[in-house]
Amino acid sequence: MSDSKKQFGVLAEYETVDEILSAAAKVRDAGYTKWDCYTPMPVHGLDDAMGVKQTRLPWFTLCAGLTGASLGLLMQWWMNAVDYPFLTSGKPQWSLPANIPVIFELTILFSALTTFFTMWIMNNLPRWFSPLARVERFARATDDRFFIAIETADPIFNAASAESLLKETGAHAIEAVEDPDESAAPPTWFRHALMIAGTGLIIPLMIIAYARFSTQDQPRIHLVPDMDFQEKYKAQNPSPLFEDGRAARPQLAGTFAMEDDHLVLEDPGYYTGKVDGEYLTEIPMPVTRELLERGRERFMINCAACHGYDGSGNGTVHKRALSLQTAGWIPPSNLHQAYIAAQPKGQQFESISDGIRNMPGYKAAITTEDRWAIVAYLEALQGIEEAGAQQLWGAAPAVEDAGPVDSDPLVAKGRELYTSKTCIACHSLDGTKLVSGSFLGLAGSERKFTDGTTAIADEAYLNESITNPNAKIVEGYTPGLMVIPPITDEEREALVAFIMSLKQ
Amino acid sequence: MHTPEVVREPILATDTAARVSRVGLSVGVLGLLLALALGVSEGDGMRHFFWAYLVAFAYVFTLTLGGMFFVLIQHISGAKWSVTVRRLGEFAMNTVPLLIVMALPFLYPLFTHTGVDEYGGLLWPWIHPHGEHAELVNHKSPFLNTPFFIGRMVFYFAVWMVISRFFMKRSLAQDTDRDPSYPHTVKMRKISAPSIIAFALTLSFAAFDWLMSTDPVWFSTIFGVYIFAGCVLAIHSWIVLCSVFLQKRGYLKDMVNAEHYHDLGKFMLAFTIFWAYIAFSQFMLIWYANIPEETGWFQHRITPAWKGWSYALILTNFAVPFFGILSRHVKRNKTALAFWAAYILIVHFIDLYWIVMPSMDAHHNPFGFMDVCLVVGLFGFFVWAFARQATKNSVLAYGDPKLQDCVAHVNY
Repeated sequence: MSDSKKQFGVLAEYETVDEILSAAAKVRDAGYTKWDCYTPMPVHGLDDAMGVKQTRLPWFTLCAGLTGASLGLLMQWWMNAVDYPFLTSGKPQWSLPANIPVIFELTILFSALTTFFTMWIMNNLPRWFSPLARVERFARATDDRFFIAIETADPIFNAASAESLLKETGAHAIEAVEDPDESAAPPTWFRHALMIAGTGLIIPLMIIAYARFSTQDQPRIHLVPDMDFQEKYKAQNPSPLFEDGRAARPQLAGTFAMEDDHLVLEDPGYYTGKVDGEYLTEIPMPVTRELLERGRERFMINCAACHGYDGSGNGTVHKRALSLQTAGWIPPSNLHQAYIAAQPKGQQFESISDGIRNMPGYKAAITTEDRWAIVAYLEALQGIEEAGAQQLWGAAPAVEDAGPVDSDPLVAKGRELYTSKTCIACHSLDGTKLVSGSFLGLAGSERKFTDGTTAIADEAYLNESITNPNAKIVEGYTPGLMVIPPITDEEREALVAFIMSLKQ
Repeated sequence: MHTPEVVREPILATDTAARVSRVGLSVGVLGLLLALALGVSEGDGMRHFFWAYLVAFAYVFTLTLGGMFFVLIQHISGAKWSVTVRRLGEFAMNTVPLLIVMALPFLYPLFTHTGVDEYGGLLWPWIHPHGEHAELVNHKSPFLNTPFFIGRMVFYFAVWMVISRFFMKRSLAQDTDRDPSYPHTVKMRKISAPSIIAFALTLSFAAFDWLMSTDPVWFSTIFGVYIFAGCVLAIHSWIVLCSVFLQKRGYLKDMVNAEHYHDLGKFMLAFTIFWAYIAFSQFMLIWYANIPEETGWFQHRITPAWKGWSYALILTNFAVPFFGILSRHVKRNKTALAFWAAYILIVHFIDLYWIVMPSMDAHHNPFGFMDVCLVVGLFGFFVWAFARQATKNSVLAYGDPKLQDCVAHVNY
C-alpha cells in the first residue's frame, strides 16, 4: 500500500455464512462503527451480529399513515362540506362513509411512499460510486463470497489493527482498498438522460396549455370509451333497473331522514312550513340581504329554468315545450299571480318542498334554509313586478289584479276553482290565447268543430267540454291536450257559472 | 446461524389435555344447563334461548371452520413457518362431529309451531313467513324451506367431515411414516386445492343459511366473506392462546418461538384489517345505493337499542386491536400477543351477536347472562372436543418434512 494514495478501508473475504456471522460479531465487539457487510443474499442474524439497532423506519410509516388519514379526511371535509357543498343522493354533505375509501387510499399512499423514500434516505441511497467496486474480488459479493469492509472514516480506524483483527476473524483474503477519489456525483450519462427526460416533460404540459387556451371544432378523442359512455342512469331517461323506469325506489310515505326526525318534531314550522295544519304566514327567520341573495342564487339555479328569470312562468323549458308543441304540457305557473302572492309563506315553502301539480318536490335537492331563502326572494320578486319588472326583464304575461268581486257566490267559487284546478294554465281571462283559447267571451260564442258542425257555447256545451274534452274539437286545436283534474259535479257547476259570467 | 437438528418425536400433553378437556366439559354442561334454566324462565317459549344458541353455535362453527381454512391454506401454499402449530389447527378442524351434535337442537325451532302466533316462530323467520314481508319470504321458499335447509346442512357437514377426517388422518399418518418421499404430505397438498374450493362454497352458503337468513328479506353477496374473516381471526387467536398455554406447561418449548408468534400476530393484524375492510365494503355499497330492501338490515342495527353496539363494534373489533397488534414488539412478545388473542376471541362474540340478534328484535337488546352462559358453554364443549384429541395424539406434527425449516424460520 502506498501512502501517497488515500485509503478507503480494509476489505476481508469470507466463504460461508457462519464465517461472516462470527467475524461480524468480532468486528462489532472491537468497537468499530463505520463498517459494513456485503453478502450475496440476505443473511439471517447478521443484524444482530453487526449490532445494527432496530430500525426507526416503522415510526415514519406510522406518522405518514396517520398524516394521510387526517389529510384525506380534512380534504374531503373542505371540498364537500365547505368549499363546494353539493348534495349527492340526499346524503349529508359531509358524510363519513363516502370519505373512508379515500382516507384508506391516502393512508396507504402516504405510508408506502414515505417508507420507500425514507428507507432510501436512511440507507444513503442512491449511491453513485463505491471504491469497493474497483476491487476485482469484490465482484463475487454478488455471487458466492461474503465481505466485511472497515472504512478509514471510522474514528478508531488504524490500518494495522484493522487488518490484524480481520485476520483473527479467519478471513480468507484481506486487501487494503484505495479511494480513487472519484466524484460521488451521478455519472454524466445519467445527468444527460435526466435533462432530456426533464425537457420531455414540458411537452405534455405545453399540450395541456394549448388545449386549455384554444378551441377545437373536432369532438374530443375518447381514450377510454367505457368511462366516457357509462352504462348508468341518466337524468330524464328511464332506468333499465326497475320495471317502472325509475332509477331509485321512491321513499315510503312519511319517510324522513333519521337526523331530521327529532328536528321536525321540535320545529315543525321551520321544517314543514306548517304548525298544527296551519301554514306559517311569515318566514321563520330574519330576512336579511344575505338570505335574499342566497334565495336569488338558488332561484336562478333551481327554479328559473321553468318559471323564468323573472318568475313569469316563461322559462327556457316552457319555451322549448311550446316550440315542440308537447302534448299534455302544463305550463309552469306565473309566480306573480295574485293567488300565489297571497299564499301564506308556509304554503309556498310546502309547494317548493313537496312539489305541486306536475312540479316535483325539491326537498331532496335544496336544503331547508335555502328553500326559505327562495320563499323570501319570491316575495322580493313579486315586489319588483309591481315596481316595473316588465322594463327590467321584458314583457311578462299580464298579471291579474286583486280580481273583480263576484256578487254570485257560485261564480266566486268558480273563479277560485279556475286557479286551483289549473284551468289558468292554459285558458287566460283576458282574451290572450295561451295553450288553449281564452275564457273571456267564450260563453255564447259560436264554436266551429273539426267535423264541420257548429254549436253555440252554452252551459250544456261547457259541461260536456269539461267532462269529455275530446267529444268535439274546435277547429285549430289539438285533441287530447286537455288534462281533466279530479272535479266534483258541484265544482263543475261553479266553473261553468264562472265561465258563463265572462260572456261578452 | 444453524438450528440444531430437530428431534422428531411426539409431544404428548396427555395429562394437561385431559385436565383441560374435563374443565371444558364441565363448563359446557354447566353453561348449557344454566342457559336452559334461564331460557325456560324467560317465558318466551325459548325464543331468546334459540337465538342466543345460534350465536353460540356460530362462535364454535367459525372456530372449527377457521381451523379447516388454516390447515388447508398451509398445505396449499406449502407453508414452512406454520408446521409446529398446524396440529392445533387440525384439532380445531377435527371438531366437526361436535358441530353436528350441536346443530341437532335446531330441529326444534324448525319443526315446532311454538311461538308462531306471538313472534312468528322461534328462530329463522322464514320457517313460518309472517308479517309485512310474508309475501317476499314466500317468494324465496324454493330455497328457504325446511327440508332443503336440512338437506343443505347435512351436505355441509358431510363435506366438512370428509375434509377434516382426511387431513387429520393423513397428518397423523405422516407423523410415523418415514418414507422419504413423504407420500401423505404430497397427497394432502394435492387434495388441499379442491378442498379449499369446497370449503369456500360450503362456508359461504352455511353463512347464508344459518346467519344471513335470520333476516330472510335481506341479502349481501359478501356476507360469506365477512363470516370467513371472523373464522380466520378466531383461529389464529385460538392457536396463539393454545400455543402459549402449552409452552407455559412445558410443551412445544423449542418448537414455537418469537418468529412463529410474529407470523401468527401478522395474520391477526391482517385479518383485523380484512374484517374491517369487508364489513365496510358491505356497509358502504348498501349505504350508497340506499335501496330499502338492502338498507333494512343496517336500519335494524342503528335503532336506539343497537346503535351503541354498532358503533362500539368499530372500536372493539377494528380500532383497538389494530393499534394493539400493529407494533412488531407486541407480535413478538407472546404474553402481549396472548392478551390480544384472548381479546379478539371475546370481541369475535360481540361481532357474531351483532350479526344475529338485531334480526330477532331490532328495538330491544336482549343481551344478558343467558347469552354469556350459552357461548361460554358451547365454547366449553369445543375446548373439550379440542383437548380430547390432544390426550391421544401428539400436539406437534413431528413427521412433517418441513419441520426443520419451520423451527429455523426467521422473519426478515
